[in-house]
This record gives sequence, structure tokens and C-alpha cells, in this order.
Amino acid sequence: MNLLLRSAAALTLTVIAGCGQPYSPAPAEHIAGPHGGGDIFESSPDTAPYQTVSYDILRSWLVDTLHMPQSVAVSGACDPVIDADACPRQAPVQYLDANKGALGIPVFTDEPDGTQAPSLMTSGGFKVWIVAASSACGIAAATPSTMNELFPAAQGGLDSYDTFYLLLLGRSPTAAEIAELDTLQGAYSDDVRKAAAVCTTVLASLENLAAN
Amino acid sequence: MATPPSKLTRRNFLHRAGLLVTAVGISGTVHSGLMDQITKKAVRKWGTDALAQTPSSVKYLVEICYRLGAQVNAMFPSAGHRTPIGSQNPDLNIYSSPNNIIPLNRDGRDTYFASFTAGQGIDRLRTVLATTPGLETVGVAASEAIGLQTGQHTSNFASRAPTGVAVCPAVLHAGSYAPARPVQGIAWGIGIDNGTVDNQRSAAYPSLDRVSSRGQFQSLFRELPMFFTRDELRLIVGSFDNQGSLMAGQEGALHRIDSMWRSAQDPRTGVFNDNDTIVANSIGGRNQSTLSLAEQLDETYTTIQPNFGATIDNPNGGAALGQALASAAAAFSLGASSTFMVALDMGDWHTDIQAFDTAASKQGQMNIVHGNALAGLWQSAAALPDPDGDGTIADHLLVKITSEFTRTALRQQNGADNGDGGTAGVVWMGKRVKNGSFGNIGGDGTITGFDSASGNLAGGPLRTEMQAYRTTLKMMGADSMAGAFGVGSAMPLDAVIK
Repeated sequence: MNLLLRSAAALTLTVIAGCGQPYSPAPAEHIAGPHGGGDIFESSPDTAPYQTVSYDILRSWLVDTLHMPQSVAVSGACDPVIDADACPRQAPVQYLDANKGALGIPVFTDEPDGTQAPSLMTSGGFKVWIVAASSACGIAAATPSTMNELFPAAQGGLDSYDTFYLLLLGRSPTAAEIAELDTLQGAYSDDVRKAAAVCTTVLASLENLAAN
Repeated sequence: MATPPSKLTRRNFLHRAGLLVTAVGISGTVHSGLMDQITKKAVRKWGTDALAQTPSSVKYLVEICYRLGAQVNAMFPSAGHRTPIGSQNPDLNIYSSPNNIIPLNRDGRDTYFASFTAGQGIDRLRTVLATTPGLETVGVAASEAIGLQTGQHTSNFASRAPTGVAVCPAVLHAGSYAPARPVQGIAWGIGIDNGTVDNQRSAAYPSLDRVSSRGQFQSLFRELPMFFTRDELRLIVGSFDNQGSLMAGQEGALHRIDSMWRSAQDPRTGVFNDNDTIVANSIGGRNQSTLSLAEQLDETYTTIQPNFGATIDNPNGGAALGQALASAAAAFSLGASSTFMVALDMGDWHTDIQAFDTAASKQGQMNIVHGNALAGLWQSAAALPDPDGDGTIADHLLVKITSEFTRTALRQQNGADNGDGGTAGVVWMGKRVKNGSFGNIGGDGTITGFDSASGNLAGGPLRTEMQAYRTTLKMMGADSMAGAFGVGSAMPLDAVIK
């Protein structure tokens, strides 16, 4: 059910083709891209019990759930000579888009019914997602309206993870999970970071990323 | 039909992150057995494919450009320089005694290595090439029998750009023939494109990033701007050791949340285990998200630094070639760069006349400092895996050395002057290169050319700088550009190409 919801959300998106980061000598500084992933010609057993959710779903979480803009012009902390594609701190969606190729095996299908098979995320893809999601969580946590959607003040704000868990995982957190996230929060200095840490942990969890 | 999962990508990640070297766990006090350890580790970790020697594409190019008439025979003499002293013209412009000009025979030919100090410099390079596993098929083709096309005292060497539309090898390689890298091409030295050495290019080819020190090179790589600091992110994703494994007690909240789900909530408990690719990839990605390329470059540099000897920081020629080449090896192995061009201004050589085998002479210092750097590069390249998982860096490396001009075959001014030269000096090194000293400077100072196809000595006009340029194009796999660059009529020196 959870997957169906995610897939439906994905269909509402316009798929933006990922692109590499072509050689440009102009910037004074450069950033390494993610690494990892085999290629489609490598033989692999077909016994893996899980795949991972698609790029469209990942993007939907950033755009529809965390309300990240799809395009921003970077400035300030992201030096102007750095492209938005390489600045997840301010442009997590563009960073995700630019590194789409690192996420995993592309899924090519024209099926209109949303039943396309999910891909298997590579290690480079996990990196991209963790970096993009954590930065998006940081931005979202600093935005009061979004923060109130994810962790409603009426339910105790950051004292309750129910809404966020239901939103992402379709269930409430267990007592053990609550204790773990409470401990995690305690390691950060301010509420924005506390919220971003919880948000990142759930978004990057295998439960959230696995599809079957 | 299920989409086939990708192969074990953490393996690839470790490959690409350059952790092979850092995994050795040795810091600045690296002992002499370092490369043995790395080699063994490579075999143990990835099998012998990590040490494959198939000469394939030139993914990595190092161009060393000597301005102001460096004596190539101070490093790679000709066969005639081994003429017994009693039979030599007393003005023969060579600074190594015949016994200290030592051949390395490969591909049916000898290349000669000058030794000013045993175990140092070019002598060490010869030993590295002769004894290091994985370098058995590296050829060194050297020649001082290349005719100068446009004379001397020019920053735009004809052997690098023989026509107005030709693009120099480093720019061409970085712009079109190398795999994409974060910082594609580096130009290392003082006065590049401003008086020392020009990198001729056209608008279609971007210029290289210029640096003159290791600090400037490191500054080209900045951290990925993200919300959390790396230490903050580690609280979520965990801390990793140099093997890429989660450190006990520092696994991070994400790992513990995942473990809870897998043990208590996962509907496929018992199937979805630690060996599943999705789990391995998740851990690999968590590790990657906390890695810093700049830190990795630093770590790799520190690890391979001993290969470059005590002269690694010596700025002979205006820039520390050892630093440049160690940075190149590290950058290649981490997938950070593909192309290095180093410009060295060797200054005036006219009156540097010293006895044979004088290590403190200008020729001796060039031999030792630059030879140590080259030895370190090849020793490191043999052990460092290609970041794309395709053998080692050495399998894909081409080194090209060009001297603007060499000194006259016979000293002038009654033996008191290393005269401005009449030939260019060129050296190619790599697995696509045929070993040999091509052409000759005889004991009497006679310069003899060679046949382009066979490599045998041949009278008549010397081979040209335009031919040398096209030869480099062909080695790089760029011979199809010969026509566009106006060198289509110059036959490549196939005798030096495998």
C-alpha cells in the first residue's frame, strides 16, 4: 500500500532527465561526484529480495513532502562559482536531479499504470540520497510551516514522531525507535538540527527506501 | 521481470574511493615494504585483475615540459654516449661516464639511464621499472634526434603544438580523451601560458586549472556544501574505518533504526540479510556521504610520499616535480583528475661544466630530483588501482617529457659552453610505448636520426617535432585529429608505439 501511494505520487511528477557534470574549467573549485554502482552489463543473481524506490519517489519526497523548490539560484554559503547541481545545501532537488545517474539502474518503461519496476539503488545513490535528503531536511526544519506539517505543534512538535512516521512509513514508531530518535536529538544543539536529524534518519532508512 | 540488481557496488566504491592505499594504515612513517603490502592487499582484495597489465587506453596523461634547453641526456643518454672516454670527442656534451649509463632492454631495444647516485634519481627509476610487479611492459622511448622546427627560446614548443591550429596534448587529453573527472586537467608550474610554457588550445578546448604548489592544488577540491557537518552527519550514518566498515559502537542512529526494522518489522525477516546488495550499498553510501575527497587526496599523498624520496619537495626547475607527480598519482587513483602538465624552467645551462658523474652538478640535480619524482610516479601507479576498477593507474598512464631544445652534441667555446641546441628532446613512457633509445648521438658528436617505422638508425634528415607531436596524438588515441590540427602530412613515429 505504501508503495502504491509512493508510486501514485511519482506519477504526478515531471521526470527531469539527469545529466552529468560536464568538464568546465571555469570554477575555481570543484567537487567530486558520487561513486559506485555497477553497470547493466554485469551479470548478477536475481535472488535479491528487495529493490529500492525509484528516483521519482525520492524526488517526490523532497518536492511534495518537504516542499523543496525544484529550482533555486545558489548564493551565500554555496559560493557563486558552484553550480546549483553541486550545492545540496541550498538546492537539494537540483543535486538529486544532477546525480540521478548515480542512483541506480535506470528504469525504462512507457507503462502508464504506475507499475514500473523500481530500481536498485547503488552505494553512490545512497550517498546522493543521504546528502540530498539531509540538506532538504535542514531547509524544511528551518521553515516553520513545513515543520508544523511534519511535526505538528498540536501533537507536541519534535516530541512526537507519529505524523512523520505515518507520512513516510504508514505506521507509528515503536517505543524502541522513539527512544533511539530521542537519543539522536539529544546529540544536536538546536531544534532545527534535531528535527533535521530525525527527518534524515527516517528518509534514509532501509524501510523507507526498500521496495518489494 | 525484475530489474537485475547491480553488482557488489561497495567493492566498486572502495576501489573508487582510493581506500586500498589508506587501508594499509600507514602514515608518514611508511616503511620500505609499503608497496609490497599494497600489492598483496590488492591481490587479496580484488584478485590479480587489480594488477592487470593490458595496455589499453591512455586515461591518464602527465606532460613534463622543460623550458630553456634542459639536457635530456642528463637523464636518458644515447648509445653513443657510452663510447669509451678515450674514444670520445673531449667536447662530447655528456655528464655521465660510460659505466654509469645503464641500459634497460625491452621490446628488443635498450633505453639508457644515467646514474649520478646509485639508487637515486634516474637510476632509481630504472630499478623501479625493472623490478616492480606490474611495470614489466612499460616502455621508455627517448630521443635527442628530433630536429627543431622553429628554433629555440620559445614558450610554445613545436613538439607540443607544431601548427597554429594544433592543440597541445594535455589540453586535448583533458578536453576530449580522458574520462570525466571533477578537476579534469592541471597545469602545474610557474608562468604557464605567461612566458614559461604555453598550452596552445582552441576555443573548443578548455584551459587547464593552473597551480604552482600542492596547497593550490588541494584548494581546487572543496567540500560538498551540505546542511550537516561531516561530524554531525556521522551521528546519523555512523563512523567508518579505513576498510569502509562501520566502527563498533559508532554505527549511528540510522543503523540502529534499520536493525530494528529488519529484525522486528521486515515482512521478509530471514531473507533480507547483511549480505544483500541493498544493505551493502546502504552502508557504502553512508560511508561515501562522510568522505572528503580533499582528505582522501591528502591521505593518499601521505601514503605514497615515501616512493618519491627525500627530494619530493625540491623545486628544481621552479616547481617541485615530486609534489606534482605524487599529487597526480593520488588524483588519478581517486578519480579526481585525469591530466597533469608540469612546466619547469631549467634556466641557463651554458657554463655548467663539471666532471663526469657529479651529483651536485646541474645535470646531476636534474637527474636525481626529477628521476626520483618519475620513479615515485611509476611505483605508485603500479600499486594504485584505477578508480573505475580497470587494473592499475600504470595500465593507463602515459608520461611525455619534452625539452624545448637540447644542448649541442659537442660543447662549444673550446669546451666551456653547453651551447644552445640543434635538436629537441622527447621521451615517452607507458605501456603503449616501445622501449628504446631512438636515433643516436655518437661519441664524436654526430647526430643520427632513425626510421619512423622500424626505429633503426637512418641517415638523412632527422625526424621532426611535428612527427613527435603526431606520435603523441596516436598514443593518446587521437590520431584522427591529425588533419584538423594541420599535421596530417607528418607520419607518426610508429617505431615507438606498441
